[in-house]
Amino acid sequence: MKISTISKYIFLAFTLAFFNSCNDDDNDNAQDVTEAGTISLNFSNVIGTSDLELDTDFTAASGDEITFTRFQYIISNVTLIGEDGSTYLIPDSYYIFGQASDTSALKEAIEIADIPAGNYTGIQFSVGVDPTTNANTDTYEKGDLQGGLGLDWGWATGYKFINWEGSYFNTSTNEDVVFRFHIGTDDNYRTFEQDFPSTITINGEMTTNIMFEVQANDIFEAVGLNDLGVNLPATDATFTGVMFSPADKATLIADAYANMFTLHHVMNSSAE
Amino acid sequence: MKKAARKYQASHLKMLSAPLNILLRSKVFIWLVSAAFFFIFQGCEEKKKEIASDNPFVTVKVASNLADSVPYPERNPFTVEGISLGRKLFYDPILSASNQISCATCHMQGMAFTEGSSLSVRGVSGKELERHVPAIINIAWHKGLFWDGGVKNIESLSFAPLTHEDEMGQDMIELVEELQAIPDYRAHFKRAFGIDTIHTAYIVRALAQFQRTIISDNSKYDQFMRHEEGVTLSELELKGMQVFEEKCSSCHQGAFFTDFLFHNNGLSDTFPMEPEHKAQGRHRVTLKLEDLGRFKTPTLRNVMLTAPYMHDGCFKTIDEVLDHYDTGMLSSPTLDTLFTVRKPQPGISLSETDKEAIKAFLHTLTDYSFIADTTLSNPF
Repeated sequence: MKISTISKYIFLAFTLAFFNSCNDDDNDNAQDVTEAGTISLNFSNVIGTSDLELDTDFTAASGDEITFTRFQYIISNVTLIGEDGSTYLIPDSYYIFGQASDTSALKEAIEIADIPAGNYTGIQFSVGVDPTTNANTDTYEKGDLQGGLGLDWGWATGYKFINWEGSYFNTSTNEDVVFRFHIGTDDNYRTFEQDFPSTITINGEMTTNIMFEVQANDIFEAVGLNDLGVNLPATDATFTGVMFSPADKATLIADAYANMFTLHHVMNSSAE
Repeated sequence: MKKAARKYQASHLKMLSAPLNILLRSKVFIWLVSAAFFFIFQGCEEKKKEIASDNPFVTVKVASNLADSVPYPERNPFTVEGISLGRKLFYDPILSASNQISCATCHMQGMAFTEGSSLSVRGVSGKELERHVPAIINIAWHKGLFWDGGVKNIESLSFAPLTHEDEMGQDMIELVEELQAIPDYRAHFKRAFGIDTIHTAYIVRALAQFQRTIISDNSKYDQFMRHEEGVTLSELELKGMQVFEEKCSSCHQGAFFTDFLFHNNGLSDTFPMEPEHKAQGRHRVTLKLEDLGRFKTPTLRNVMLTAPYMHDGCFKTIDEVLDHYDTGMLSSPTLDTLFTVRKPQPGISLSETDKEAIKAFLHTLTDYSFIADTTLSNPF
């Protein structure tokens, strides 16, 4: 008991010392408002000029006639770039955006509090899960990530960075065929950065809304389902898609992420 | 009670300088590591909330002829409460969608944690599975799990049988709610991990802790290798050991009786993509052509209890297995070069006497204390 009490006091002392030093650092960086702010990350999913909705027919850029039953993707390691070149990585920022018709509600936005007050010039984020976190799926306290919920593989370890499922009209068989884009593995983890249109100030007086548009057609331009169906051996009849394989197509899709996510605009709203 | 417990801890404090690798004699798996761990744990109490203060780290016992220690990932060290929770979960049908089958339905202790059929139909859908149920024996040391090794650790593995529609068919969110509604489970998760709200990560961590304790290291062969008193092998068993070392041990090597690697042993000469690339074996994971039709070398420990054999359960008896290696192999570009030394028919020549001797030796790998071990049995 005594040992435990003493260790707690020592721990407390260290903690206090730690926080004191943090405060000292902050004083160098004088801001009008030093209270931490909140940002709202928004992703609106579109295909061409239409809003992307599940169970709705669309004609994709590839010419495929498609319907989605699942349209999900993982955004992670969101980092804000400070005016002075410093970076702020939002802790445990792993978000599953989108929707699956059998389970969840549409997730289009996430509010993130405790962003250090300051001026920021851009944002960086990744599509997928970094190799360290992706090495196991007993994931705990990493945002939305959790194993066993349909966004991880069963026979292999790792998350599906994008998980799109639905059906398309196969023009050679004249019937609807299931399609799946399950893109994952460390090789297909992509990070990119976008500048804000102008420097933005984040602090406790307002919420900063950062709006992205997610254009599904960028991926269908990279990989068309009917093209893929023709190229795959006829034996692979249960679905058309890209998962672990064909790996070259998975790479094409991962490379298309960079075009797919476009910073649309940034606007402030009152914190109240 | 309380006084006794404190005295126990005090005696461990004195053991600080004692070597860590003192083995306990009893068949109880667990023993306290040392006071060092106790101190580290106290220091991190505020930070590492998932570990409860009355549930210290423990080391799982393993015989010296098998390994020095039982590996585990840093995020999931062994604790008494973690292991006992995992054992309870392993045997509890609440884990399946139907609440009718548990992990133990297809991993029965009496069969060295196998199931007995070529392709099981015991899952919630009743549909035949596409792979033969693998034995859970010494899997703490495996580098890749399942027949094609795609799964990297036991924690991550458990989600697959739990959620597969033809296995346990469980919705993990529902499972969390079901467990959370049971006071005994709530309390056990709290004791094991210090958490008030049950989480999927800790369900599989507890299961993994228990499964790492499923260790077979006390067969007649082990006792013989440890020069235990009064343990001898018969002339036939010794001959079998010699033939085995010559003809089988390049893959079924060492004390684990597996190289933990992947080989094409000539079961098939076609590797179709359908269904779901499963006949392609290791290739499915690595996408390398040389891995087509390669599957993990299974351990031969308790092999006489784990029939049928192979990733698809195609051989009903050990005789069929030995005949396959002798005369039944099919050639393909990825057939292991160990088998292509013999021409034109690939394989390993085994005389009838060789086969009898090998079988006698394989019988010495049956671990009767393992299948009777009450720390591994159904706790309900």
